[in-house]
Amino acid sequence: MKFMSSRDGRGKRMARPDVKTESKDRSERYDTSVEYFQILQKSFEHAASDFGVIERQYKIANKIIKLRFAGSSLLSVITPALEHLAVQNASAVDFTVCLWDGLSTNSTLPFPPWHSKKLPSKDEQKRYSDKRMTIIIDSGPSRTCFNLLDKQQNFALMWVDDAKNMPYYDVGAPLRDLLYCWLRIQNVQFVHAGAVGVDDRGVLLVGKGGSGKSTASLACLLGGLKYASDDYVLIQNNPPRISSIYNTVKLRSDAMNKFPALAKMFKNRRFPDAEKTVLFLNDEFSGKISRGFALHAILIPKITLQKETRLRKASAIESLVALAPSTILQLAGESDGQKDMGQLAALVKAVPSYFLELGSDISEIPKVILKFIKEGSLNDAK
Amino acid sequence: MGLKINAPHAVSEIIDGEAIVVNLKTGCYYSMGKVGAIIWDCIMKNLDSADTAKQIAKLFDLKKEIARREIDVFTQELLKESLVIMEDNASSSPKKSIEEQNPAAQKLAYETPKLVKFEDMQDLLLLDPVHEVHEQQGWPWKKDGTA
Repeated sequence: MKFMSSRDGRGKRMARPDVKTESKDRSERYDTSVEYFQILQKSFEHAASDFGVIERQYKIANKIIKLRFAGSSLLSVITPALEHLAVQNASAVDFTVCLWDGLSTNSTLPFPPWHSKKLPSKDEQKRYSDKRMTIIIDSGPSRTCFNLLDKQQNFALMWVDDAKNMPYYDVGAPLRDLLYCWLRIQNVQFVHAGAVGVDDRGVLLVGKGGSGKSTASLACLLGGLKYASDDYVLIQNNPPRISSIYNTVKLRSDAMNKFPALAKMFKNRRFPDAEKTVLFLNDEFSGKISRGFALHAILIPKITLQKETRLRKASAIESLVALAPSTILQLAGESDGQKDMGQLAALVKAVPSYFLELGSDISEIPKVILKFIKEGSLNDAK
Repeated sequence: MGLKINAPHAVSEIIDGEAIVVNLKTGCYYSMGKVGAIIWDCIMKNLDSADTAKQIAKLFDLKKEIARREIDVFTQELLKESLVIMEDNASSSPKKSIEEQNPAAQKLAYETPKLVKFEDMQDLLLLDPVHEVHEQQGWPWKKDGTA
C-alpha cells in the first residue's frame, strides 16, 4: 500500500492514502505505519526548520528522555511538570520525542493510514498498534493530540492542533499516554498513585480521585516529607522502587482553605477557571521534590470523621482494589490491561498495605506517615 | 460450562482466594467472595460446571447437585455483566490442570457466591474521539469548518 501523493510532509498538501481493501495482511499495515511515521517526521522537520528547535532532556526512572520542540509554543505546556527531572548533556539518550503544534507552525496532519472518514475508536486503534508502531489519539473538547510511537527506534512524534488550548490535566501530566506506552516496554509501570517519603524510603498513596491522595501528599510535603507525586508515579520491581514523574499537584479550588501556606501559588495559578487547580511544586519546593524512593508500603487513604489519623492493616486484595481499577481504566488499553493487572498484583504482594484513615487535623497526617516510615511497623505508627 | 473469560475486555486477578475483575468496556469492577473466586478460577482453567461443582463440593459443606445450581445462577450474573461469554464447543480451549483438592477433613462453611459491582470509576473511561477528515485539509477537521 502506498500513499498516492506525499509531496512535502507538511500535511496540507497530502492526498488521501490509496487504501484499497480492508483485507490487508499484517505486513502491509506494518509498512504503512512506518511510511506514515516518516511522513509525519518530515512534517516535524519542516516545522523545526521554519521555527527552530528547542531541546530538553529529563531523567525519568533512570531513562534519559529527550524532547525536541519545533517552535516554542509547546515548551511552556510540557516542561514545567517535568522540571525537577531535568538534566543536561546526557551522554546517551534512551527515548526521543519530537513535538510540535498545528496552529503556530501552520501544519495539519497528513491523512492517516486507515480507511475511514472518522478517527478510529479506541478499539480500532489496536489495528494500528503492532510490534513496532503504536498510535495514541486523545481528542478532547479543546484540543486533539496525536502520538505515534516507534517502539523499535525508541522514537515518537507528538502533534497537537492548538498548544494554547491544552487543558489543565495535560499540563499537569504531560505526555502521559505516550510515556506510559514506552515505559512499560522498559518494565517501568505507570500507576495512579501519590508518593511521599523520607531519605530513600517512601510510600505509595493509592485510591480513586477524591479519596484523599492529594490532600495527604500535600500535607506531607508541607509537614517535612519529600514529595514524589499526588497522582501518577512510576514503579519498578525487584526491588520495588517508586520514581517521580510530575512535580504537580491537582487540587480543587476550595482546597486553598486547607493549605493557606500555598495561598501565593494559588493566586498565581494557571487555569483559574478549571475544575481543578494545577500547582507546579518545583517552583516553590524544589529541595523537597524527590526523584524517587525505595517502596516501603502502600497506603490507602480514607477520609473519616475522626480527629486522629490512623493506620490499619489492609489485605493485598484490598490494596489491589484501590490501585488497579483506577490505574488500568485510565492508562491501559485492552491489549495491556491483563499484563498491567499482573504487574500491580505483584506489587501489592511485594510490600505491606495499610488503610490511612485520615483525621480532620491535617497536620497529623505527615507525623503518622513519618513515624511509620522511620520506625517501620504498624504498631510503632499507631 | 461452555464459558470463557471475555478477554481482553475483562481483566482479573486472584489473591489469597479473593478475585477482582475489571470490565474495560464499561469501567465497572467487581468482587465476588471466596466461592465466586473459585468459580472464576475454574472458568479461567476451562472447567465445565460439573467439574467446578466437584471442586466446590470437595472444599465446602455442600452437595454437588446444589453446587451446580449455585454455579449456574452465578455464571448467569457473569454473563449478564459480559465478564464471561459462551464458548463455541468447536473452538473450546483445552482444560488446564488444577490442583487436585483432597476432600477437606473439615469442610469450609459455604457462602453463596455474590457478584458485587462497583460503578464509581466509569468516568475514567475516555470517550472515543470522533472527528471528520477533510478531503483537502486533512485531519482533524472540526465540523464548523475550522481546521
